[in-house]
Amino acid sequence: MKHVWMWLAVLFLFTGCGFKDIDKRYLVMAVGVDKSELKDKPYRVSLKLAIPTAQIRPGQSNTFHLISDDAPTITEAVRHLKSKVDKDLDFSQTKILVFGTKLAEERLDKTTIDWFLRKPEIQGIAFMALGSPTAEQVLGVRPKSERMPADSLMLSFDQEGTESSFIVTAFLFDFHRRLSEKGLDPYMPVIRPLKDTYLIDQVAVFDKEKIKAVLSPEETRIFNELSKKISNFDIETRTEQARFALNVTSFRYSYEFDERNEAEPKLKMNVHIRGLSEESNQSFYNSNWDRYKAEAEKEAAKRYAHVLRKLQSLKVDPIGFGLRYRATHYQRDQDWEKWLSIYPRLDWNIKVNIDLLGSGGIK
Amino acid sequence: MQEFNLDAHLHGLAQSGDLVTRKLNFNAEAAQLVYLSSMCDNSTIHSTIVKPFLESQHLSEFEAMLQAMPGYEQMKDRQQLADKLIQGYALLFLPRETCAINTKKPPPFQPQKATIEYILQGPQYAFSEDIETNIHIIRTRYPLQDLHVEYMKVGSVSQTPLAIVYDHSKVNHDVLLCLKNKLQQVDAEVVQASNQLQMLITKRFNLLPTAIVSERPDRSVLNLSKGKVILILHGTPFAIIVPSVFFDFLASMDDLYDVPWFTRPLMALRYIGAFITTSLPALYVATVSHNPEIFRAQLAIEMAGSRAAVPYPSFYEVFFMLFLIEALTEASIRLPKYIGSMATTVGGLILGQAAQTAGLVSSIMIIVASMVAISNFVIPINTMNLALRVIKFPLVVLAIFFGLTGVLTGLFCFLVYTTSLRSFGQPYLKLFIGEAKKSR
Repeated sequence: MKHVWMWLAVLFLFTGCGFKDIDKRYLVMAVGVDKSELKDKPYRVSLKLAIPTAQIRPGQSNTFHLISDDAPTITEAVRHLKSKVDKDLDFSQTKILVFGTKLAEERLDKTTIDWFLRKPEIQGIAFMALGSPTAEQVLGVRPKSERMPADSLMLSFDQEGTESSFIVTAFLFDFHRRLSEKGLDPYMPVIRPLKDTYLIDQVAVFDKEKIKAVLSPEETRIFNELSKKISNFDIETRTEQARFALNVTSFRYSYEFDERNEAEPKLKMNVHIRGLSEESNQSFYNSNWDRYKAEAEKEAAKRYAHVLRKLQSLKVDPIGFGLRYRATHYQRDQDWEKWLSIYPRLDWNIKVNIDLLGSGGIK
Repeated sequence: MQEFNLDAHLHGLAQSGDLVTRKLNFNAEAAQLVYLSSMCDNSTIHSTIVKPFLESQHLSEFEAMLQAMPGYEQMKDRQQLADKLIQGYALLFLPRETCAINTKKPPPFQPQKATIEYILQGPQYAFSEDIETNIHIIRTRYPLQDLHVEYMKVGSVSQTPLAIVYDHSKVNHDVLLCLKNKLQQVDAEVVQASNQLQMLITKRFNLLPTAIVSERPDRSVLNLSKGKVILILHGTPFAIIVPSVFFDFLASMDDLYDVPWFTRPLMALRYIGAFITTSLPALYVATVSHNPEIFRAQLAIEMAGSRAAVPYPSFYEVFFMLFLIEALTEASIRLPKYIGSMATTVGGLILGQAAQTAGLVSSIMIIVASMVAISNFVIPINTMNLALRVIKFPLVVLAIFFGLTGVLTGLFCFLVYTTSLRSFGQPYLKLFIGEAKKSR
């Protein structure tokens, strides 16, 4: 019997936050962090709190309560926000973390996301995004088809709902890893609020400290292909000879470093694409496919080279070439320094190999 | 010729209302016929006693005829007369001797249809309440020389006949010895039910039953062929099967009679059902009040919404609904069949719906409660059914204080306890891999 009581006493230590019914908790669906106007309180934290409903109805049950507060730290802000609500704040369902562009332009590094990493309820698989112009505005949007607060954003990012090639996904754990990994830089999708919906078609690339640039939608798509190896995108070829779009069904690439010429290091990249022609201004079932293929290959290689050069000129490496270099050219601490000297001089040698599966037309 | 004095012979029974005495007169002598009308069969009395009497001229001739009758016994000991009378013998007081003739009524017991362990396609009849009929059933289904039947009596007052049935070539003799020892030690006054005897020969406060009580002859025979021992108690249509392990309680006879594509998933379903019925209320309390992070966001919001109307903490509604469900189950057992169905309708549908509308319980809780009740009934053996019904309550208490950790610890402790159990020396959680092949 003594043992039983001892066990029960020990059990009490493992129970976490104690007995509190779910209806006495305010579920925080999304957290936004902005830079505030005040000097001594640099963080403006916004919380999107779900108002519970017994029945989920699209467009009606996504009622929420948005609260914001300025404070010197995120902890302080959340603590003060607790006094603005009647129920206990519960971060266990927080899946969306939005950061304001201004904050990111100034500084977004380990100290900023430290609170999210330390909070035990917030999962490492939370999605991170940049809110443009502010995170608070992003959180304030109430899309028409939404079933519950912040559901649209979750569906956009987790590939369960829409599968757009423009939407880049960044997880908290991944972002954290990229902040400290040499040769792999962080990035985040940019959310722009529209009237009743969001537009997520850009990506912001970071160095280890702050935002370096925001890529255009077209660049974002190529970035997504290269970083996530997604295969549900299309390639548009627009030259004088041909004008058609290719729907890609499978996509892979491999690359290797060519350092035979020390002065001109090269990166040889082989891209393999299989796809069907989807939209064309002329029927090419009977014409020579190889000609179109060559056109498309040339066009695609140009697109990849453009984005890679842009990243190179920004001195960021979100694809992870540096990490690969370090892994394959191990030399204690020197490999990293060597890579730093190589990367700005790297010449991109991209070869695209398109396998045209069909003309897409029914004869 | 002196007058026959019944009271001198049968002191206690002389005033009994169903005692019949007849004087059978021969020329100079007379015989006295005494029997209990409630225990004896009239036509047997007629054919074994009255007919020889009418056909015989002399007493000696009558005596010779009686001695040839089946069931004739000469009574030397006058003390046994009353006992014989009660057992259904007719007593004949002849001038020179006293004899008893078996004129017992054939037992009124017929095998009844299986109602508790009902299966769809398979043997439909259960045991009867008569021990001889039951042994007859077993002998017919298991016609082997090795089948041994040993009789004994349990209950110091009731003297209930008990048969120990086993296949001598297959039985585990340690188990048999252990069982006989336990039976010797039974010191209850009145033993009337198999469940009662099952408790008397196992530990009374075991949380889980360690001997199956089954009404199915086919289950008993199958277990006989596996070397188990069957106990048949007179006066109840249930046999006790020892030793029994946990997995036996979750097996239905259907598992052998249908195709494996169908029965294997059903078996899995039963184990899932057993898990749900024990732990779902506890998991509800733990997740709703301690760890809502394990839900998906949508479910969490819906749960919070449906709980918003409930003014009490989650464990109040759990206890409220569990009380309702247990009361409902109990009521539908006690009530006559036709009213019983009404009780379930009123209780299940109307009360549940009304309790939710009134804001006493959340709609999710109604689903939890009905799942608990339904899952409980997929377990084929009633004693296990009851055991699992009990176990959920300590788990709920653990969930209230310790959340998910408490539920897991409780389930773990339960597992440890189950492992520690022995059924007549056999490990309770033993697996029988490969053994099933023989019975296909």
